[in-house]
Amino acid sequence: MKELPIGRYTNYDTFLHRLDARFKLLAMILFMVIVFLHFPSRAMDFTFYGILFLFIFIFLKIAKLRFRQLLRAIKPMWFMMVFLLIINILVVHTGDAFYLFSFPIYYDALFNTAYIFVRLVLMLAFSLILTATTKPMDLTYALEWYLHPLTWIKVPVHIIAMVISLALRFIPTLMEDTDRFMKAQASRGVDFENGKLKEKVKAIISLIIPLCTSAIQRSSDLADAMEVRGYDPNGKRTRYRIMKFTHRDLFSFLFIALLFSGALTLSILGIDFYMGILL
Amino acid sequence: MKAIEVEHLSFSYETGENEEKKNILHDLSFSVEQGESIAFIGPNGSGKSTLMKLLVALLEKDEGKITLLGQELNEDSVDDLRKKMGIIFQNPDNQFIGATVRDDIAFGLENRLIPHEDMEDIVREYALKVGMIDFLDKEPSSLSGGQKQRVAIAGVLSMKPEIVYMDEATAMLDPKGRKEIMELTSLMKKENPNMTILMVTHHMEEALLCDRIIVLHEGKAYLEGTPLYVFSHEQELKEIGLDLPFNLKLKSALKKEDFSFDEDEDIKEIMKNICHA
Repeated sequence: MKELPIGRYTNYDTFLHRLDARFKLLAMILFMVIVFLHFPSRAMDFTFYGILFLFIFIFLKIAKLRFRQLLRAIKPMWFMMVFLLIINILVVHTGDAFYLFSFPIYYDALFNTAYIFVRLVLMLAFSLILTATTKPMDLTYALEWYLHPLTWIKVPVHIIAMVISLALRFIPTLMEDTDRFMKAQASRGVDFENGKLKEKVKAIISLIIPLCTSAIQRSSDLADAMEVRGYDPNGKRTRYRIMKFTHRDLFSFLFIALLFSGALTLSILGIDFYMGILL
Repeated sequence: MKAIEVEHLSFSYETGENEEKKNILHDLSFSVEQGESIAFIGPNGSGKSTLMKLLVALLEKDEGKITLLGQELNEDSVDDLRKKMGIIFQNPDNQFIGATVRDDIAFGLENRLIPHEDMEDIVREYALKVGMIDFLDKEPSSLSGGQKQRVAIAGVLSMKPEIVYMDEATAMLDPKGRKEIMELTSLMKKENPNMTILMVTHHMEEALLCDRIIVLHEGKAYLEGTPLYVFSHEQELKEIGLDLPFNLKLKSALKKEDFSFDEDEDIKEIMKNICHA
């Protein structure tokens, strides 16, 4: 059995799971903005990163998510980070430096890499928490709600939302198809794992063509089923799922708003807790 | 009132080669009373599924006239008529529209502008009816084919249709799933005596449960009548590659061996009597 993909929805009933998807989406965006706010000193920057990490820890705990999942998501980034570090060391030549085997290494290079790394991890963590605690369908609804103003300029938002939700609905089905076609082709002698690039491309084509055929067949059937059940893309529809903004959401919203405006004020006014003593 | 009246219906596909046309249905006429259940059987390519699609206006007829519930099916009446009919397709996956069981049952209700406040009750009522009440929040990928078809039936029934079409609804199911769907269909008939059911099937046992059978062959009605009447024409059915249901096959084989029994006696009774004798 394969391990759960990172960030996939977990079916728990926790505080974070119960929050309104619209609010969670907004909160994630606000957190991401905080990640990219610029503070007057590095010490302040990293203090805020520390606070954000603390939030992530608390969120992971509340949502019953494992910290290991986050580590697994970060793992593939190591190579990129090492690469980035080398580039930075070679390129950045400002500020103080120390010497390693008579080779100058500037502190700025190390900090630059650290900034990129920490910001990436933070963003990854927030989006992971969002998708792990919110059903894809609810996210689609939230997106539809935020995009609603676009209907005034005749953007068919509800159609786009329907398309996204149908795509989400069919991901597992198409994954099953892929699995089945892979087995079917493998039993006919197609080797997906070994061989030169050209052979591998050939093997993949033997998978893609039946997959496309099946996807088109499925969507044609689906269109029939939707039409017969009275779906009219341009018509009016009532809603089965209605999102409710509860007290829970309100308090969480006030809290996040406070945090965000605090961070924003500190950033704009350039207030430094450490009076420039540190870094 | 007649639920369905089809007069001189013809339909053909363009094959693409030399603009040749392939006749699927040719001058087909039949009518169905309200509350009747009818099975269409026939070999592959006899036009059964095409007929279903014509009846719900997913395909456009070449010639002829289709009258449903006293109203002629055309561009003006199609929206109105579709509100009164539902169809269950063959592939359980491709007609599952919602993300979960409850969303899928609600899909049709949303289209019919049922107010939000009433939806939950309707969803629960029909989920209970088809035995899926414990699966309301399940996603289709964690359901069996039979369960998905039950959800499809709930979705159709929730719109209170007067005509229900089943287009080989059991063809992709395992024997257990098929049995469940057949039991559900019988229950549907019992609960709504006025509901007209039209099914297309490859399984003769399912056709046996209907009031009437129409055998299609090369786009024409080849045989028509009660199941007993149709299945008494063993030779004619064999000619177009159809088989009798197992029960009837057994009975006719027993007759050849000079066992005597009543035509409509239960097969289990007959077996018991033979074994005792």
